[in-house]
Amino acid sequence: MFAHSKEWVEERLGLRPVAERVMEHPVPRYITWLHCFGGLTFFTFIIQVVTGIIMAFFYVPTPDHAHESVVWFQHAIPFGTIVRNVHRLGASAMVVLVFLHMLRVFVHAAYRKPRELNWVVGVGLLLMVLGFGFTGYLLPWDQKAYWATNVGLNIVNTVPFVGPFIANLLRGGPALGALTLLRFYGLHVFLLPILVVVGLMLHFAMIRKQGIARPL
Amino acid sequence: MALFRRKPQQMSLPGMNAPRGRAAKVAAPDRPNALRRLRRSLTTVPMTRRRFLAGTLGWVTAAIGTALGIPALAAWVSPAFRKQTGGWSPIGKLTDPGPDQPDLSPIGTPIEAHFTQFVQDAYLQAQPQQVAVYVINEGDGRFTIYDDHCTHLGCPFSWNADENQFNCPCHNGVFDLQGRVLGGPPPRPLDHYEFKVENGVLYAGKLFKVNDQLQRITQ
Repeated sequence: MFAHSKEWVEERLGLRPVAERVMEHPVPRYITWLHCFGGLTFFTFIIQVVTGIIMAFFYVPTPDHAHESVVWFQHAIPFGTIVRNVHRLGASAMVVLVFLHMLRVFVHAAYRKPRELNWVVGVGLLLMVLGFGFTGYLLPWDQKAYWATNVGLNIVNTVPFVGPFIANLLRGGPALGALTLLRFYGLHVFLLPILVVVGLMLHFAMIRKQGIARPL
Repeated sequence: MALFRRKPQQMSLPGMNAPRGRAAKVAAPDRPNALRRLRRSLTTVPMTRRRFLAGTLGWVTAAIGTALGIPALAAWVSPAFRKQTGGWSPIGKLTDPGPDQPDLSPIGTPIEAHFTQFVQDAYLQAQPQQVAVYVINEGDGRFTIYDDHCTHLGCPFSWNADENQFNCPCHNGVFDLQGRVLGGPPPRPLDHYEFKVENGVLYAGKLFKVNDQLQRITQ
């Protein structure tokens, strides 16, 4: 039934050369397994997106229902425990992998000319991954989440001059509460994903343009 | 070890120069079944390193997609199969009702009553909800409990004792004592609650719909 659908689409759109350019892209002989960490980080990002979208259908970012909705998702929804724990462990895995990726680039000195800009974008992506971790940690709205965020925001508070303002900005006021949860939720599911996707596109476009750095 | 040190090259297998792509496709009527085509493509099309890697990539991707997709899809779809919740709620005692309780003893006439239903809505804690009903004592230990909402658009209706019918004020829906539609726009007879009597107390259960023959049509 669909035997000729490939030809039908091909005749109209001519995608084969594009696909060939992507799939048949030569990879240099000198890459090693250490070069996989970036791709693995991206892979965990996709897992985080899939599991995160599923949880977005069940989570409520208000102090009176946030924790109940998480508990309910885990015990009443089939695979709820698995989906949430994959997201939770995937978050840790992503931070570890992104650090290993950075370490590899550092040790191979792959950040040198002409790849300085990609290093800068990469550092931005690293900070966003940590931002995902920090904002996501509050969302279950349990004791650990509340106090960890409290400590985190008090650390922000110690930044000279601008610290108190930034802490209040993130907290949505002087006290940790409903607005804090909503702000962290908005950052976690709307703002940060958009920024990360833009950053990834730049990151990938640059590596494609410049190629993988030669070994030392 | 010599095998591994050799420079990579295309493996040579029988049928290496067989036509590929469109030319290799057999005409539709003689097309062998999928299993045969798979076996043929695995044995006659030369297995190059590139083809092996592409196939492995495809299968691994499919496996990961399945492992990730099944839990995600199951979790997302599962609320579609949620059952209506709510157990039995007491309406009132059949004998010596309290001062603010309805007298359920008159037989064959609708009695206005209320009960408090505790509804658990997903993660929301059970919320008490006042439900207005008409109870008819059928006299033989059976009761009919009508939900006090017109089956047209959900307005509360009231019993008109003079004309022996239920009148809905919104669009002039009219029902008889058995709940059948006598006039107006309602599409089906009145909705019922299940009843049970335990220790002299009348309880309302699940809400259900009936068809024109007054047979229950929903769980």
